[in-house]
Amino acid sequence: MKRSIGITINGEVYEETVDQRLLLVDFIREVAGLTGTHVGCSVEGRCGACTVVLNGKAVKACLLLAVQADGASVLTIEGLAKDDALHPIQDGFWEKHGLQCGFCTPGLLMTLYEFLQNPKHSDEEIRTAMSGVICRCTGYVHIVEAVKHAIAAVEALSPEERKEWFPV
Amino acid sequence: MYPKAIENYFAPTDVAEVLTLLNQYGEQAKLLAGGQSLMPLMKLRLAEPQTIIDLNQVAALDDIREEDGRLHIGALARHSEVATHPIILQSYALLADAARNIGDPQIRNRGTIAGSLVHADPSADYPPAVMALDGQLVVAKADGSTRTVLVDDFLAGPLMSDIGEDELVTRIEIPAPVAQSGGAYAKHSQVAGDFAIISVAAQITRDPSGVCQQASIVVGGVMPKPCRAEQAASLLQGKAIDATLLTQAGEAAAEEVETEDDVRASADYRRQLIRVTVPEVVRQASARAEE
Repeated sequence: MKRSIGITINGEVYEETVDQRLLLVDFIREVAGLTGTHVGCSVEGRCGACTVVLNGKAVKACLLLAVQADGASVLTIEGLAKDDALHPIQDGFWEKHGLQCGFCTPGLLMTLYEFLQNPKHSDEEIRTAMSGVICRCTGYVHIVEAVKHAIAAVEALSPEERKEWFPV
Repeated sequence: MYPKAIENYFAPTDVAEVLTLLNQYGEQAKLLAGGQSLMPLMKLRLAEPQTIIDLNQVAALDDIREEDGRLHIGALARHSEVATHPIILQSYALLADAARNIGDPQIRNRGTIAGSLVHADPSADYPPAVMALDGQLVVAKADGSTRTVLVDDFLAGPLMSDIGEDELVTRIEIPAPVAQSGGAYAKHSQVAGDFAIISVAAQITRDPSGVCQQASIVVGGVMPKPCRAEQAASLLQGKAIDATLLTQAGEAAAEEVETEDDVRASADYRRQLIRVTVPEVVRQASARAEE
């Protein structure tokens, strides 16, 4: 019923004995105490608010068991900024006002984290990339502008800086 | 909504171990691949497995390669891999089309081809695509034997497939198309990334003069499982594909494929979608065959 697992989240290892049915999103929120990863729809995995980066891939943390991530590396919204500097993706949303209530924003940013590792994208690709996160406030226009702002910023990074902002 | 308590969780690392566990836990166990359908079913308590056998640590179950004139796709190949794999984009484009149409990027990062086929949702993207390519599933059994089953026979009905409690799909095999072949897939859904109201997969082989040698058309989003539009396909055979013929094929498919009303759409609307989508998809498949 229970199992001891260890998950590296934003570079820190969290070890706990958990119910085998515990969802990854609840491990992140309840065990690690990182509540920036949100729970929206909670059933079907349609809303995307719980998106995190698992071993380099954007995934919905409500559609995985925590035990599946034993030994894995997870990046959440709390792992994006460095000290006082916002991540280029966050900065794009800040500059272009890419959010209103902000509930979906962590999921959007983590989805875009994988997408922007290779920043050359058309408008249509930007919209397709965000199709797994539902925003109920903005109508997406400002979000697309924020992503374009972030793309320009990522393109301007040196290879070393890029590695620093995209460690996984 | 939360899954029911899970008694046993296993993460085996090879196929033999999976089969041993299946033999031992059989009917109370569920194989967990991408989990993009199983996890929601577990949260809704429509599935309440006591034992989970997680396939994600099994090595070498996700490779994609061509061998002996066939495409081999490992059971665990993710939709994102199928959608972008160079061999698939080059020679099996309709499969890449189908993979790209599934869910959203996060779902495509996890969901697997065998998982989708075993789940056998009649509105899912892979079933009609793999049917149009005459795909087969290779199934391993705990006693060490394997069998091969044509996808048409594997898909038994809505959420029903021909898989035993002690069996594991290890790969999908698709015969390599001959020269001058091409395929395409398109779907209509209520919102982006949703299940299909109607989907159409077509695979066409032409001769150098543009005459259709062989055609395969499959319509998804219909009950109890995707349906081959055989009369529409035979209309194309031996003829040069032009606008008139495409219209006739659309009419024939709308006539022969039975549609039903459900929460997503009416039977009439589905028929109309078949009428207009078949010509569009066949045209694209034929254009790709010419390339």
